Amino acid sequence: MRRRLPPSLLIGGALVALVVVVALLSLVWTPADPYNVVVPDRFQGTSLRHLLGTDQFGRDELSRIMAAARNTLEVGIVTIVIAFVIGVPVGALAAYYRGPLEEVAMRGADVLLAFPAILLAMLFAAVFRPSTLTAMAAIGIAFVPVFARVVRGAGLQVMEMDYVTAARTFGSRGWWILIRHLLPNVSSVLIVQATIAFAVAILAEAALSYLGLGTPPPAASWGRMLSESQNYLYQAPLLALWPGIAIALSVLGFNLLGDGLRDLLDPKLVERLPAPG
Amino acid sequence: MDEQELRRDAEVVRQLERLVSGRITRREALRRLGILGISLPAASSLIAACTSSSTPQVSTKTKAIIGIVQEPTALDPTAAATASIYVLLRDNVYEGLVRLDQNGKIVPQLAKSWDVSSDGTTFTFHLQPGVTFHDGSSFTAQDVKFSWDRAKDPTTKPVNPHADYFQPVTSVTVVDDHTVKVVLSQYSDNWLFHMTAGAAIIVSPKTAATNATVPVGTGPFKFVTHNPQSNLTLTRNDSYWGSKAKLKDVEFRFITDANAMNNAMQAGDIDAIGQVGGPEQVQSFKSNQNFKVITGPPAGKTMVSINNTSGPLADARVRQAIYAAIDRKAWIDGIVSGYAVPIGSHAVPNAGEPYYVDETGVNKFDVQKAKQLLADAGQTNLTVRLAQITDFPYAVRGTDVLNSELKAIGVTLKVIPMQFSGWLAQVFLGSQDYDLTIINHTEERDIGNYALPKYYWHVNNPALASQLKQADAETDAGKRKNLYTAIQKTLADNAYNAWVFAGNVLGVTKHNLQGYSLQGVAPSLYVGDLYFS
Amino acid sequence: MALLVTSRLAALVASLFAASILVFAVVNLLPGDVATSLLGVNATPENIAILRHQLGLDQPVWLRYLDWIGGLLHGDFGTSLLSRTPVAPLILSKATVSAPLALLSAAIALAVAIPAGVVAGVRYRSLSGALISALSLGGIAIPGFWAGLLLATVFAVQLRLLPAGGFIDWSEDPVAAFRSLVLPATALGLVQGAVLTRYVRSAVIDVQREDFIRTARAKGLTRWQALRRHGFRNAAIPVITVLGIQLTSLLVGAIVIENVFFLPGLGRLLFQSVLNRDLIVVEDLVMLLTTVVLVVNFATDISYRLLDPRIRSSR
Repeated sequence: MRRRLPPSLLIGGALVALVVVVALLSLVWTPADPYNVVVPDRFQGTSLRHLLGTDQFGRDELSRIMAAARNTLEVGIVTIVIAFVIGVPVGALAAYYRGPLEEVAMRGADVLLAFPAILLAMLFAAVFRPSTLTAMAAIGIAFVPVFARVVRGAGLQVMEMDYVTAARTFGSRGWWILIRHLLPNVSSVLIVQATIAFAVAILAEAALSYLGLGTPPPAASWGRMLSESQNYLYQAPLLALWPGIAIALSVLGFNLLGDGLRDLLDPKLVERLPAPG
Repeated sequence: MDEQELRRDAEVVRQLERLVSGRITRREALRRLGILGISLPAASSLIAACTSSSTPQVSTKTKAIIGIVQEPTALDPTAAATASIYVLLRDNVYEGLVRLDQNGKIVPQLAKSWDVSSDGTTFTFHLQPGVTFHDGSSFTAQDVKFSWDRAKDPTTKPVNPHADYFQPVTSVTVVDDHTVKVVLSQYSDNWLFHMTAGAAIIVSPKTAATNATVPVGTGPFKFVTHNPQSNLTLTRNDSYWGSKAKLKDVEFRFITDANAMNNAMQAGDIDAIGQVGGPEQVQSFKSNQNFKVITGPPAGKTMVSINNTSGPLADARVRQAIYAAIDRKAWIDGIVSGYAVPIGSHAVPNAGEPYYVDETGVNKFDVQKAKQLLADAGQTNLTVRLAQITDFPYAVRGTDVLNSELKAIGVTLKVIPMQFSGWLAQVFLGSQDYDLTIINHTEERDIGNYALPKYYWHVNNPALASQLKQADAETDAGKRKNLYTAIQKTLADNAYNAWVFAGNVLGVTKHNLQGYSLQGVAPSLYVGDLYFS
Repeated sequence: MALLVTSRLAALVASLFAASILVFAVVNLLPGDVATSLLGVNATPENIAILRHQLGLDQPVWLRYLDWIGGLLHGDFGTSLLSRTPVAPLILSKATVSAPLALLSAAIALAVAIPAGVVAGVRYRSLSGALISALSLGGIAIPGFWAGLLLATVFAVQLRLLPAGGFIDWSEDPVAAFRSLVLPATALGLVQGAVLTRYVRSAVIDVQREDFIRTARAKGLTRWQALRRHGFRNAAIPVITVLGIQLTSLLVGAIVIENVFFLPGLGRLLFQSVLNRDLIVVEDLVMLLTTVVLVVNFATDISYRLLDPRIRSSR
């Protein structure tokens, strides 16, 4: 019997698809050059030429919103990849080997989890440089414990299943067991986890850019556009609206998609992520 | 109109006059007008019309709260260079022998007058009598000698941030209690100017060591408390030697975020924005009659600094090309909402730098010329790195504009973001490995840095260096001006840096705050003349 | 049991030691130092070298580490090189802002999340449940600083009901101090509350599937009665755990909101100290936070083991 798709999945999927399409489209076409400064044209209202008006340097706001969607996706994807690449093996190894390794890894994860991501990002920005990459690395590392714990939790269950015990008795190698049995079992939970983490990453990047620790100019970023537009609330209040809406809609999209996927795939072990400061 | 009515009107006017001159209260005036048969609404509107008129009237409000963007680190300007230390404390708590007024003119302070020998090497200062420090000890020539010897001494702990200002000084001698003689190795036109700096204040030997936490000076205000990340409060020094401050208390409140500052001003939490974070902020106050926007003289050189020894930038034509790509008007309108004047060399048109000449005609905005210069230099597909300071809004905004302008002449800008501390360590000191950087050189009369080949611009021009030395040692004002004119032209011709604009000093106050003295050209935010009307 | 506590305690001390080395190493990697920050743009290299020597910044790293950790063990947090005041009272005075802010926002978050989450959880199949769920999703999607700015614009600038920011010390005027925390705590609390609503909702949904609730309902209790008597206490455990994590991270993690409302809290102190390279303050703060986290973890770990015999035997 075919299951009805949950509405959250449909709405969330549509919003996420919109962000992805806009980001991809911005690679080949935007209404105007998002980086071209034409100061005499600044603070124009909405018009046919500039659908969302122009910013403080006379750049086309819509083009910048579109270009920033790319930045947002980039942040989300790289963040998740970092969290995955470190978190999944750590969690899997902890589940497989148990003992002191598990103890150290999980204790480290606890501490990291309680450590505000924003603090990590601040230190990263100071040690290296305040850039998109350092922001992504910091957010990604802050997500590691979540992924590690999810994988470990699922791993512990898998390791106790009869067929794994059987495989072990028949002399299967550890790595083989991990890859063959553990990963398929945690894939659905990881997909949901990643979707939700994506939403948190978008918010975290916006907060970091607000503090000047995220995406530097001239790249367009919703968080930075928001923090800059606040200086011009008097001249152009709408400039503070568009990036905010873009952030809220894409975060909502990823959250809904995550919820929908959870209802669809029904994994029990998804962990929530701490909200960014 | 009958006589009785006329007499009543005369009586009404008389009562209103009494109110305005402060002899009766508003309530009493209302009562008396009521007796004269004037209805309550009519009476109150009459009173409102009178009291809001331009007649200045000293209000009973005795405390002003001023919002400050940058918080002082320690409270001793002889120990650290953080601008906000002397912005808040010089001329208010601490004093020097001379001070710079808000237009950049040197005026007497603890020295009531001074004589200069004909060769310009000996300064004799005549000190104000009857001056005491806030701890009660009296101020004498001994304190001047102590303070300036201490400032010059490299073993002082911690070292004076401007020990270099005292480099021309050979000796400081006490002639008598109220006379000090300073001998310079040779005349330096900048020396007396530099004595208006925070680093040159006069401190008492008794409190010098503890000034960082409990500042003690001779100024019109005494220090009360400093709550880090919150506020710093001063109270009037009632035994001040000069004309006493009009307000009893002043609080400097630290608000690092420009929007938060705006909100605080709009909400009436503060009486003035001491340092306007961004000029775009003043727009909302301009149209509101509850506030005053004060536009002062231009100060500070906002520029694209160039590493003159980095690869293609060693070629003057490449530097000129980059300079020609810069549209000063776009920077001024886009970055500081028009509150600036364009500059074309390392000087600003204000009284602090009297040698200023307009060099903006040398490197004009000209995209075609820029492309031609690049072609002449044989540069195609040029990429330059920009060390971008993330802490300063103007540097962040300048990056957006510069990126677009360089793209127009076919130059790619590679942005390397860094925090100011990192910038100081990597660009200003350390490896000094960078191509371009956007920075505002806020100090007045710092043109002498072009004589230092190790300064981060790496300008190595011995002829220019000796000209700079000569100009500073020249006692004749006319000859000095000629020398500085030639120097500014050399700087512009070689496009050692791309000087863009000098921002106007701005202040926003409540409409009834009077006597506000702008900080910017003057190193300090002097609050001694503040009062509410 | 005593053995367990001892071994856990040994692990705690070992982790603290490891953390201290890590913190010190990371912080000392920061480019630039306080000497350059103190002297500014017109400093000569000679002056900087002299100041660096006077501040002891030219000593070897291990010596500075021993100096710092030795001081900490004696309860001496050192002296800020920037403001030249002792660090301990500095941190303490910031904590009088940050701790009430964290508590107040947690209270607001709970006041929003518990009723909303319970209703959404109990009626999760009905329209009202879905509506609350959607609202909380919307709340999560709004950046906290954006909420703060909107609140400040409406309640401080337009309506002038509350201060737009800043902080008046508790000792000076406790009412004013409280008033200046209301808006930032609301901004934080609403966003945290939206997050927490979702935890409460799923905890309530989960607990309804438990056997003991089914049994209780089989005995004839209504859904609400069953939940009130048996469910909520069980549903509270995961919620309290999350709240604990949120509180710890709010202590220093409220940097953005502290910036919006220019509150002199721990977050801003840390932010400024990092920017100015006042390393001792950064080290002390990060170490303090790590210690709090580790000790809280230790305490929960022990109490879980004491309370739940299943966990006690399974490991």
